[in-house]
Amino acid sequence: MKLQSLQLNNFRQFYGKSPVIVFAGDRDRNVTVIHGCNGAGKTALLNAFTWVLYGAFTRGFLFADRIVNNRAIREAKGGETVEAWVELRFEDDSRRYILRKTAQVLRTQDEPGWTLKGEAVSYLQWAGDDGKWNSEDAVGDVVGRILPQDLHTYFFFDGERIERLVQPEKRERADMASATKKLLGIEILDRAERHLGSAKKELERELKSIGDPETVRLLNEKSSLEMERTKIDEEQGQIAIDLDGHRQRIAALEGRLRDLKEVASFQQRRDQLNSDLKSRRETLGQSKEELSSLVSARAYSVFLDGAAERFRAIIEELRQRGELPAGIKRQFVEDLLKRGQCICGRSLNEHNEPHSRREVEIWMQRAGLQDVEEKAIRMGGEVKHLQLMVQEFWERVDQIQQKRQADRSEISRIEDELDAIKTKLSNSPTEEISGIQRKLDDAMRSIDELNIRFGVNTGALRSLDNKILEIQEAITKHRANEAKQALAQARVSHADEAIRRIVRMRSLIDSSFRKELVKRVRKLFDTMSYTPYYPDIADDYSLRLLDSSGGSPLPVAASQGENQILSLAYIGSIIGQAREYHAKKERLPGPDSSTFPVVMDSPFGSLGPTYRRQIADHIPRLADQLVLMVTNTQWRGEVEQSMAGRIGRSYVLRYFTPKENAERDSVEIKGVRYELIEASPNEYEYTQIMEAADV
Amino acid sequence: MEQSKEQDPLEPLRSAPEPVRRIIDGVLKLEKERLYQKSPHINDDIIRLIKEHVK
Repeated sequence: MKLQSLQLNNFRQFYGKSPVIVFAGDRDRNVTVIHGCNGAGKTALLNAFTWVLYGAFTRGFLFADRIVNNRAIREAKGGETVEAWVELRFEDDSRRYILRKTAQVLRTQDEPGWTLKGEAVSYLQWAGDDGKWNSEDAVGDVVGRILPQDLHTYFFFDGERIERLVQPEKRERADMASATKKLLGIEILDRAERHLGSAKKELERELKSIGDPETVRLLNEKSSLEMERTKIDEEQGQIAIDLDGHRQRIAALEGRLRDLKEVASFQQRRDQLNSDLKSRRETLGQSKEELSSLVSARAYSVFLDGAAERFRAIIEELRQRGELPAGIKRQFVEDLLKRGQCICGRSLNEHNEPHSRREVEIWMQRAGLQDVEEKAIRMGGEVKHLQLMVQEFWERVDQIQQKRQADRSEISRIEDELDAIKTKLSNSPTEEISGIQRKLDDAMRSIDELNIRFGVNTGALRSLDNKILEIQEAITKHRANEAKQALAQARVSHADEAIRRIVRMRSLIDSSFRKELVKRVRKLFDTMSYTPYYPDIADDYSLRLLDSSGGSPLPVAASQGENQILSLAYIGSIIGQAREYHAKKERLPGPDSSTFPVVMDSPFGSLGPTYRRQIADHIPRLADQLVLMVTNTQWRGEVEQSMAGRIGRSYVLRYFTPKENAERDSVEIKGVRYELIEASPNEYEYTQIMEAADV
Repeated sequence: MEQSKEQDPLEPLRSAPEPVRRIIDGVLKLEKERLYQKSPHINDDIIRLIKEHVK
């Protein structure tokens, strides 16, 4: 992220629209200094950055809800809307961005004289290489990708509180570790490991759901059904044999009756009747089939009667209107129009005789009905045929039904006669004859029973076949699942392998990064501090100072100044490391930014001259851009001298106070004196921003 | 030589079988895109990625 400019409107103590603060961005002159006395709004400026970017404020920033300038509110009429905004322009990854955040209040009569009008609204535009500006709704996402929010404390901070990096509270320590890991790309590996673990669990669940036991169960079920089928099939075979045996027995018994003189005629009659019965039953069956065929082929004609009537009505209407028959051929009219002369000799030229031509053209429409007439004649024939078909259909149905009735009556008669013969033979006084008839009756009953059994079994076999087919299909599907299972297993093991390698990478990166970072921080701290202490970075990336002058290293109760130096050394080292890593050709994904600004409020407050000089020497080289908010005390002397060659832009915060006889303060920049405290022309205190000329 | 190779943080990625390397690359890319989110909903995308690379 490279800062370009910042502009404020009614933001906190900055009344009205400020001039645009353009930030120095040259490689050699990368420092922007903003001079202001205490209370002039240096911290507000720092918070303008954090508010516009993240909607957040630095620790200790009071009355964070009071965004809109007090004077602007007081000057507004009741019910009027007053707005404050901050507009930040920056560049990142060859894109230019304009980010503006606006807060609105409504002027009210009651104290405190205003009420918030909803949440502050952000608006983001960006332009790529083509220079075209695009709007972006997902402001948080875009800003978050450029500089994640939890990293912002490293880049926008209150210098007087910077030592918190060294002595963080428990929660802050976790945030700090997370932010550092994020900046160095380690957080990505941490998350990848965690999320791949969850994904692997999900894949394992999938694997379980397509497991093998189901295939085994289906195979067992199929085998048991097949066994049942074989059993029934064997029974059917036995039934067929039994039936054949009974039939042979009947034939033999009937033969014996034929041989007995006194009943031979009965048996012969019975043979004849059985033959007739068989033939009649066959005829009855054929009639039924004939009726079915007739119904399926011709029954539809019965339902077309209404359609035929409608057709006749339409044609009749056309005839009555004189539109049928057409009486004139379309081709004939077309020829007349083409020739441009009527049969009466009149010209049909569309320019000279448009009326005549139109008259003849009307005949075209009538002639058009010739097609209708032809079709009507053809359809008329078909409709007549249809009516005949209906008549024929009913006649044929009647015939078949009559024949079926006759066959049924004959069958009934034959059965009665057969029963009579049977009764006669059963009641025969001759034991042999009645005995043979009884045996015949038994055999017949057995055949009936066997036939019923055969029928039941046939049904059972059909149902079993269907079930076996269904199970076979399920098995085929599950066998396909076996392939799926192998695939799911492969996915789980690949995910596992990926996790193991990520863990290894993380561990290597963590140790090499930490080693590198410790080296950098120590080098920097050593350059800046005159103490024999040296920094160390714990596993959670928290910082501490150690002293090994007594032998083994012991933590040091460092002063605020030393901790501030250490914190700045840490920030500088992280920026340096992230920048270096980003420049590598082959690297793991990490934050895109390789350019980092540092915006510091009151950076040298509690430091002695030596440390102030050291920091002033180093910080402009550590950060790509440096924005400093300073009081005279923080600036004058060694800091001013050290930074002189690096300053690209200077601004002054002019604080206007309504207090009479307030002590004045001023700053001299390049030989020009600028007032820092001035008398307010009204009852309000406010601040104006002014660029220091001739820097 | 062997030791320096082992110390190279990218070595586990370089030496990974092709589908594993693609999964790692893809997952890291997804994670990077959502780094700004505190708790990204990323599980389904990772599963999809694994399924895409192991067919």
